[in-house]
Amino acid sequence: MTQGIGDAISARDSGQVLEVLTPGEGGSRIIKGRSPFALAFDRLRRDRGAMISLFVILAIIAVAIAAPLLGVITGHGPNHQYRGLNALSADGQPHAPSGTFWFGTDDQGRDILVRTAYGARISLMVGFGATAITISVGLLVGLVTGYFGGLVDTVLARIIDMVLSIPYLLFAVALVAILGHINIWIVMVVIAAFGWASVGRIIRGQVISVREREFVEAARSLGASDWRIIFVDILPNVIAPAIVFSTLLLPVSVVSEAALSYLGVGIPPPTADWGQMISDAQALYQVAWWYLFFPGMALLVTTLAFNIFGDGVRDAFDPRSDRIFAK
Amino acid sequence: MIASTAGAVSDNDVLVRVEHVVKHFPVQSTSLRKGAHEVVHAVDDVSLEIRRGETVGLVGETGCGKSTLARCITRLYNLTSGTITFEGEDISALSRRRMRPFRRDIQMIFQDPYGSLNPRRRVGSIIADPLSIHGMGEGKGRKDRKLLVQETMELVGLNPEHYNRFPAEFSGGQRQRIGVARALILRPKLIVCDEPVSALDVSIQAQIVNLLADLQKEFGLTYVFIAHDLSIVRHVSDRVAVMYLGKIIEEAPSRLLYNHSRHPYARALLSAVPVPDPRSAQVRQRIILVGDVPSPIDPPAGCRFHPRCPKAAQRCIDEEPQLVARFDDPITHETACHFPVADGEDLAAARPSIAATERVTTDPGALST
Repeated sequence: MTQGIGDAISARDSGQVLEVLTPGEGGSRIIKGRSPFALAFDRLRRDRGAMISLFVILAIIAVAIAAPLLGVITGHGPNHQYRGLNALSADGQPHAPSGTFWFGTDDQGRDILVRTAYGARISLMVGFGATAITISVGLLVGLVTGYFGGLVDTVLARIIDMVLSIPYLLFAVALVAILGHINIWIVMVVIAAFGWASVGRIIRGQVISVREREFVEAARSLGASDWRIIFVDILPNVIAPAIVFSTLLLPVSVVSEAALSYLGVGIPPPTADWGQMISDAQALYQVAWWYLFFPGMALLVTTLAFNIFGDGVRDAFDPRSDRIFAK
Repeated sequence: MIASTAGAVSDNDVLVRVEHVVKHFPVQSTSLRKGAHEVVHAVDDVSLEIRRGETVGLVGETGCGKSTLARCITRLYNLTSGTITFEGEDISALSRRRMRPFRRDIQMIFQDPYGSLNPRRRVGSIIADPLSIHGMGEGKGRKDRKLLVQETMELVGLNPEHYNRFPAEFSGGQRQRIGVARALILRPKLIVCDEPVSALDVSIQAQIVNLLADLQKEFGLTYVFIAHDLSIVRHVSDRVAVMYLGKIIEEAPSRLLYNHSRHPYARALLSAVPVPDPRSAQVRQRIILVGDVPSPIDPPAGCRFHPRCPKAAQRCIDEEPQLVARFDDPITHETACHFPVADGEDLAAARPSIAATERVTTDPGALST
């Protein structure tokens, strides 16, 4: 009940709970109710920082999709090693940004601009993919363990604790080493394998409080089966933290993927990948700042945009949290 | 309200039979004593008959076990012991799956209009829930389901256009109507109303109570109406059972109970009902009970009311009174008391013959604490 009032009050502050539509002359006013998600969406739209970040994210997605187009425009492929005048200097040093190579070249004469664009593909795919898997698994486990309680809860809660206490990076490296063959799906699964536990724990806590509420008892008195109660009654009430968590999980997944590649256990070369590029650029940054700068900057901007957007989503769903700079 | 038919009641007329139902909740014992298994005696050997078409009122203080009994009848709780029979069939120990078809006929209206509706679901979906759970309105498709929901909304006094709104957009009284619609949509036989109007304003209470009365007439419903507001219960019920600490201590047709109550507790309860006329309010006697309701973990021995009863005697500690007709009451008026209050007796003048501080429990070990 307090949640409903909280929503209603903040919605009143930032807009209407009910839309009043005035259709033309002679028509009566129609008052249309808005769902909690519509309200949250509205709050999100008013958050300027979140909207700018969303624009940046969409731009990055556009660049990732249009990477081949970029290749065509510049006339350079992502993995092709060029030897020409602007590609590598006489003694094999990478060339600074120029008219031919807008972001310069790397130590193998490859076009950094095109590679950065292709790298965005990997980062975004793993970012979204790993997040999707993490949230799905975490949500399912959290729902099951929170609702059923008892033995199921005891076992799964201990498993969650175990997974949370595993040192992520060490085990990720080890896991990938064991698996040997690495592709983008394995990277996604490895990242998700360590992430689902936090989600599971949070969702479990929410489910435990929701399942005691009277409408769950009401559903039971109607004869609803447990699974129906879980997905029809409980899930809509816990999905909000899951959504917020997923927007915060996106930058984490992106950085995790870059970290794995940086350590050499990510997507294998020659596929363009930001982490890989940063790792290779380390040795050369004094002579070729652009090699480190552009993929580094791309990673920074992507992560920042996801983070700010995630903050905006969290604020949209939970308007009561204190903000330093209130509107 | 449909008056119960005079004369012999055949078994066909009995919709629900509650027989010696006991519901205990185990309590985590804080004591390190081995074998210290404490239980909350929420419902202790209650028997009740609910006939088709009537409204049985169930009253009592908070903690007397009426809500627990309601949930036992609707099998939201499993019984510790005893049987519940619905239309002749024993539903006391049925599994969830086997219980499902019965849930079409036994529905419940809850107390909290804010909590009993899922805030994230649209009202039409909430009301249609029983339809989709029991697979009805299936072959007819979504459109017909929607029509049925809107029909039911109109029946309970809601605007069917509001079928896509969320519960937060309704007032308390309207939400309770949504609860009624949800309970009504499958045209059940029995509706257990667990304090359906306690959370509402008085004027809205009247509306909801009248709505329930109209629906009963139209659909031949049977109600179990739980409340602690005695004036409401008097208005709606054919028969009333008064509960105290997990037991029914008096049961009578409502007119008899309100005019000729026999049990001291029931008499005290009724004397506390506010009376609109200030002059008669001054004139009538108020019986004020001392002390609080004892804990249901450790109920008093014999008659559970004896620590607070103005007429308590030694017999009340030694022997638990049976629920039978006292004096020359008709068989429909039963009281569980060794010293029932006669008509015209002044209960305020009664004095107990045992010390008021003497609190006898069933567990001698607890006396030392």
